[in-house]
Amino acid sequence: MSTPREIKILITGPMGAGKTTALAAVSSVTPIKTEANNSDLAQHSKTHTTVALDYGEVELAGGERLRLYGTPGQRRFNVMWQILAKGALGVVILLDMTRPDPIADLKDYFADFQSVIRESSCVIGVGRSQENSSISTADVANACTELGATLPVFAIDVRRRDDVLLLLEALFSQIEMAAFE
Amino acid sequence: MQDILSKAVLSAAHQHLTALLDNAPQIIGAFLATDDGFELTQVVAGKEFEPARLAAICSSIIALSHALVVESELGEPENFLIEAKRGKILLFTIDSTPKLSLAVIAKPTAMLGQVLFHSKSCASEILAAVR
Repeated sequence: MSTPREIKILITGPMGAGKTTALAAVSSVTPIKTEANNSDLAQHSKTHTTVALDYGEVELAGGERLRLYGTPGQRRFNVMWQILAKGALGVVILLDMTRPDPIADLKDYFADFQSVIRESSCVIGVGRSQENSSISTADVANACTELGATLPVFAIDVRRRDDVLLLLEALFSQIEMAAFE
Repeated sequence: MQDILSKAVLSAAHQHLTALLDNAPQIIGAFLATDDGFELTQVVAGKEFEPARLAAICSSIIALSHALVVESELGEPENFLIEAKRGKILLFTIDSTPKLSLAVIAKPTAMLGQVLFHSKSCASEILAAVR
């Protein structure tokens, strides 16, 4: 079985983890954004929040085109989560280590996207890891193992194109391996 | 989450929704929400809805429709219409501060022009109340 040349990737994670920023950092087309004013300043201080999806595209060094779909972070948009997850061959979970409990976030999103993760590939991107010394990327990797999945975990800066590309290249490698199994 | 609207404004908005259903009996539900999908108030007649879920979905649909309109270079979107077998849904953005969304659900037999007229009037009244 060969890997399709157009691949749908889902980027998810909690509010403020940097999904929109990460997608914009690598997209070769002007990203489609669906942002609204953020009313829930207690949850996060950012002024805008994604309410439907972000969309972008990126071409990898091998010529493979990834279609990137960013989800809203908040659970109330889980209808969009289900719609966006359809047909995804890979999932990126972005975590923000400055949030109160990043491991709980991981468990939540892992559970919510479990069906698509089980049938596809997944990598974890850990943001702002230098701002929280109490949890390491190894802790995140261990948490994945406890969830029954051995997943690559990368400390990244979502604003840096190279960091996000590394994450996507790793995910693509997993997708290719799964296709040949 | 802190209150988006004061109690007085919210009460006024609720009265406008009530008046909307009174003036247009073909309308069976009207929902006011923030543009990021939090329910604020609603008035329904004869049918149960899940307002929190509706508010979030409306927020997503309005944002997606907005993206479609912008992508199509059709200018600023005004309202959105969804016609289904068992009813019609009209979605409006109320350009207040904070920005709000109004969803109006009408019977399938509802006259669209009438629903649109009353709904737009209601949106204008809510805009004035918020201002």
